[in-house]
Amino acid sequence: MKKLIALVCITIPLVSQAHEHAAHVHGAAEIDVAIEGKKLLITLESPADNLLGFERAPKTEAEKAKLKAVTEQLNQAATLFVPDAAAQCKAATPVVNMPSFKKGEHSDIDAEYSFDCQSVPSSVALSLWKNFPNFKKLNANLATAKGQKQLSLKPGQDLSLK
Amino acid sequence: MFKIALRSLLNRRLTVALAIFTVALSVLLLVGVERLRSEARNSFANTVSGTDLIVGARTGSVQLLLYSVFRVGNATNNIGWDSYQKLSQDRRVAWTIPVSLGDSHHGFAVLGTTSDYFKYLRYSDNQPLQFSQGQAFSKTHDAVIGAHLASKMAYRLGQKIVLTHGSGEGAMSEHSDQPFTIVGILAPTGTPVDDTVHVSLDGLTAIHEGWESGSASLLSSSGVLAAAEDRALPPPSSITAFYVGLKSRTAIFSYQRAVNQYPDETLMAIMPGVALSELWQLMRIAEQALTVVSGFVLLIGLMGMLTALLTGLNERRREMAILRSVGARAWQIFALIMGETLLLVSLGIVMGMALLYSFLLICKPILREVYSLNIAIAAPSTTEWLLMGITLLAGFLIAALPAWRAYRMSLSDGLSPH
Repeated sequence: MKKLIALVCITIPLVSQAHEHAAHVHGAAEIDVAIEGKKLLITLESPADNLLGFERAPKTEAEKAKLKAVTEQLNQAATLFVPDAAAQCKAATPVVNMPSFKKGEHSDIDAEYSFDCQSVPSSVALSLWKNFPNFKKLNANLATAKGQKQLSLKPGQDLSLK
Repeated sequence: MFKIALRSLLNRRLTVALAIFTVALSVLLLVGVERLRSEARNSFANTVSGTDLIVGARTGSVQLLLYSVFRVGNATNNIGWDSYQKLSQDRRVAWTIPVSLGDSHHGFAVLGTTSDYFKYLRYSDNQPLQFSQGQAFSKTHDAVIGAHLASKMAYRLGQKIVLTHGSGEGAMSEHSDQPFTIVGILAPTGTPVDDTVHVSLDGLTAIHEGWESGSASLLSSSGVLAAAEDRALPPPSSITAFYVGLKSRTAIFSYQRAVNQYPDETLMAIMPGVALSELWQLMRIAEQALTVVSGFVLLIGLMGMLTALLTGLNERRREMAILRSVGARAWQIFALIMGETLLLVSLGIVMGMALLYSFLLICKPILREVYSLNIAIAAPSTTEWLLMGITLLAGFLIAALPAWRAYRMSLSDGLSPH
């Protein structure tokens, strides 16, 4: 088995890069999900383009309005993540980092959402599919009491925490 | 009627036995591939338990997982001792286990670590490591060996072993001047731990003193260094990787970011479970190919049985006609052939599973020995039951063809041979 795995790994070198340097792919984003006790923590790291439709400093009035509207939306957890009702989760104030739009660079938006729940949630509905249709794919890294895993989610799919 | 059918089967026993055997072999392959796939996954997943993050030099996450946990491949770079010290003192960290690899002993990996390894490392379902004999290392030249290594080399407590500089076949230079004493033997875990010699980081530092040029200097081979067991050793300049347990799971991602953005060194922290998921993604194509191939083998097996049945049917025209003449209805003939085929397929499935379990029993030690793959001999899983169900269903569909032919023939055929 070890030999087999080694062979596969030699043929496919360096498939995944370090987390921090995850490729900046428009349409795709990464969410990290951790559950400890009854606390649920979700962080989103996404190219700004997925949410705004542009990645530079806003120029027109429309773009400025869009930036403002999206910032407001991101500050409401329910526009992105809705844990299942049975768990009775309460969202804390999110921490949202909007890009500073440096010249000639891709811009990312990261945000952190934490929830305090009555019981351990079994799934999280992703309302971001509906509110931000530019998302085409999500990579979810999960850390729960049952262990860690990675899920690849397509538009419309819920995040199962089982 | 049932008796007659049984007699008819016995009369054709060679063909029937061959048909059953073909189905049995197909089932063996189909279920065997599935079993091997799921057991390999389990075996890997059981190796990392309870470790939140693994930190190493920046490389692919799968690569870091493979060399730091499964001892497959080599590290591209090490971590400086200073960086390790700083990162392990972070307030989010509950414990760390430093890991230093690179030397070997008769092809088995030598792992330098601290006694925290025995305290915090978990495998399978959060199981701690246990000693079957002896205890953890305390002196510089103490070694703790895994269960499989101990049984394969027939090592006992107190025995002296010599480590080899480097790993692999080409590693020739031995640290023969500084033998290690076995002070502990671990209970079997079914993970790479079983095949490892564990020594303290001090031990690794000690044997590499005077080896700065890559080979033994006069000083290092004289044995002078080994003699003084209690002399102060400097900390190692670097380690290969370290495992991290955090106080809270919710800190995983922030600590991971802190490591990835560590200013003094390009480091990377991976979540072992996530890296395993990535590894399965890579393996999926190979797994699917295997499943498709075994699916086709099953199809061929069933086709072979169909051929045998259809050929047999021609020879059994008389039998059918006689059955009809003594009062059997046409639908009874249909049911007869249907039942016969299903019986053969069922026997094939049972025999295939029996073959699988006997193979597993025979090959278990070989798989363990050669591929370090631990196969548990357990009852069939849901997927395996499903595969057997599919085989039976396929047999049912295939049986319909000869049964329908027999039904038609028995109506139109006379007793006279054509």
